[in-house]
Amino acid sequence: MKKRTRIVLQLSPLLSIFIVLLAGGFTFTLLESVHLTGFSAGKFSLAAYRILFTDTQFTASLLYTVFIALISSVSAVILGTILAAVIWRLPVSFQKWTVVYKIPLILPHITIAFITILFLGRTGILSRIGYHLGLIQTMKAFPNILYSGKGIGIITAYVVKETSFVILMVLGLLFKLSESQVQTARMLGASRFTLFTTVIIPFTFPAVRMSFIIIFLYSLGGFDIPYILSESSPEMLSVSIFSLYFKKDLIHRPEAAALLVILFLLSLLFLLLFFKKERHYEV
Amino acid sequence: MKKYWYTVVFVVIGLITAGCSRTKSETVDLADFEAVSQAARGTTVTFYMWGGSSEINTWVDTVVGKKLQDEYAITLKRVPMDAGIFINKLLTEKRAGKEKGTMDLLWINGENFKNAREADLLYGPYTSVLPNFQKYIDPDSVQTDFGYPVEGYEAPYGKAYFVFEYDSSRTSVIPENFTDLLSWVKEHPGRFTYPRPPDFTGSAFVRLAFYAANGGYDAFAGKFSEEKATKGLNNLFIYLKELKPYLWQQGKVYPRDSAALDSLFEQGEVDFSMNYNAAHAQNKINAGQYPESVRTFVMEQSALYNLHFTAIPYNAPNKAAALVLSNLLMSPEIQLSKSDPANWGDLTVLNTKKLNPEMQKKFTSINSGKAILPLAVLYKEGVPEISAEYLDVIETAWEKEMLKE
Repeated sequence: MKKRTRIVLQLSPLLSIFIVLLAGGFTFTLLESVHLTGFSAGKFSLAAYRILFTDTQFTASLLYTVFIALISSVSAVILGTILAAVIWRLPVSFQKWTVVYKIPLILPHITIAFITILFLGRTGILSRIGYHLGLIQTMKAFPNILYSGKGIGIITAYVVKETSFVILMVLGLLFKLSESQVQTARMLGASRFTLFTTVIIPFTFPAVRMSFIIIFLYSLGGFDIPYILSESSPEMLSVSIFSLYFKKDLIHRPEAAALLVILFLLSLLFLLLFFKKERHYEV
Repeated sequence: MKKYWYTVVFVVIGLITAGCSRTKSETVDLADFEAVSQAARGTTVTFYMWGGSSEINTWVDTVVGKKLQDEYAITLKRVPMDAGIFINKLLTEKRAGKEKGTMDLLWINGENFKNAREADLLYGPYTSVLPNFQKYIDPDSVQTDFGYPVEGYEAPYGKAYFVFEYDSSRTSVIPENFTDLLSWVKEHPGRFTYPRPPDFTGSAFVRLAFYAANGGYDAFAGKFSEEKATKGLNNLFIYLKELKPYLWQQGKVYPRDSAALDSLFEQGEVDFSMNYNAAHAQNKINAGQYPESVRTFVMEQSALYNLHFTAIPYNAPNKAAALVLSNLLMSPEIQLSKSDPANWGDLTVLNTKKLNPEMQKKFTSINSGKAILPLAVLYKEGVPEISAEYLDVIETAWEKEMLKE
């Protein structure tokens, strides 16, 4: 048996799962979106896509989703890098306490969503603290952050969840940074800020980039946080898909499938753009 | 060869799963209930139903499951699945020409019943075979399901009424009709809202407004009409848009679903909640989530009701046991236990006048609780559901009209 065939055979259990689940799933979704399978199966038709692209709400949803994913990932990356640098500079005896940053990493997204409600809700913890400190007259005077129509709840939840991921990635790399390099910079008179911008950022940049694309793509399609914290309009795409697929009449399923296809292609596009840039960056 | 062991395991697992679809052949005459219940002895029946309520699940597993086992020696297997999903599954099976399916009995909803009937996915007509249907059901009361003719293809097993909920210690004056509601909301800005359709409850509220804005249910009785819908929608949005600026958050956002509205109501952010289960508020009080002072009310001609039904797929592997279970669900004992707010609090579909006096008494005494309206009130203000086609048209139009700024 040739070596290559043997490798393929040995990998076959894994490969077949991958092919069946991912490629199979995508194929069926694609077929359903053009009316070739599922409830509306019949002649090939692009009606679902036509409905989506003539619907102004779809455009609004799409922009909103990209906006939320972008703003929460960028904030998480910035916050995470700064916090990682702070933890890294702490004396070793303090460092063991900073393990608390890993808590959001272990908690599921859905738990983070509920914690966000608990803190930011109008009768939530922040509102209570404000009331007891006399900052607001009644609890109802607390601004309705969660339902302001700007997605603040979703962004907060994502930032909380993803920042700890960024810290983990960046900190791992920072511990590999040789102390002598830092010492040299300090001896040459670099301030903390200069140290951060000239040594830490360039050194951790690969980890930052990697974690950015991971969390960005996740929040682009993630469902649990938007579902719990969603406002009515505009809607995150994943929530629209859920409601088209499960809550409405079966005739809307091709639209849900079409949305899934669009979301998949969008993720693929971002990924390609990202790696194209990456190669450029390495050369 | 050691390296290939997992490939072998994989193939073996595949073979085992493929061998699982063995079923027993059926030769029994399905029109003879006596023979049917004999043939079903010792078998298992799979009941596909919505699994979102732990109370209902427990009730089906324990009360119904036990009764089915004790009286008919049939094992009940409940499978939680949304109606849209199993109808889609059934459709795929039909297209593939699969004559032996996996589902015996379905808890179906009006929208999907129509879809299923149009694709010829259901077995029937069969309800006339069931003794409890003949004895206790008023045939006129189960003619249509969301405006679609039933024709014996599904058996009723429960009835739900739409009610509003309020806290009597906070709110003293309650609106009597939709005109009243509008002036109440204008006087109390920010204290009212409804769940965003296509949520089931929010969609029901919008439908009631649709009736009210067009002179009542009668305007849309019978078959779906494009023309009536267009005219009706105009009036609906005139009403809803007048209401909108005075809603919670100036109507810019709506609660995601009825659970979200419930929690706004619990926290005192709004003064009314609503539910398509007349016993919901009582259940919440019993669970300690609502204060004791919460009550329910219906406005004039606003006690929207619908029946829920069970149906048998065309390719059910064990139709005999499905018939037995469907019949059992309509028995007075099971209906009574289902009406108990401690179990579910779902209203009966039986014509209680056909029951013996002792049973009648039990039914009148069980549906009690300060937060549950007497049946007579619900009957009086009861309005049926309109054709399922309207639902989708209203929901789609609502999103277009009410969500844009």
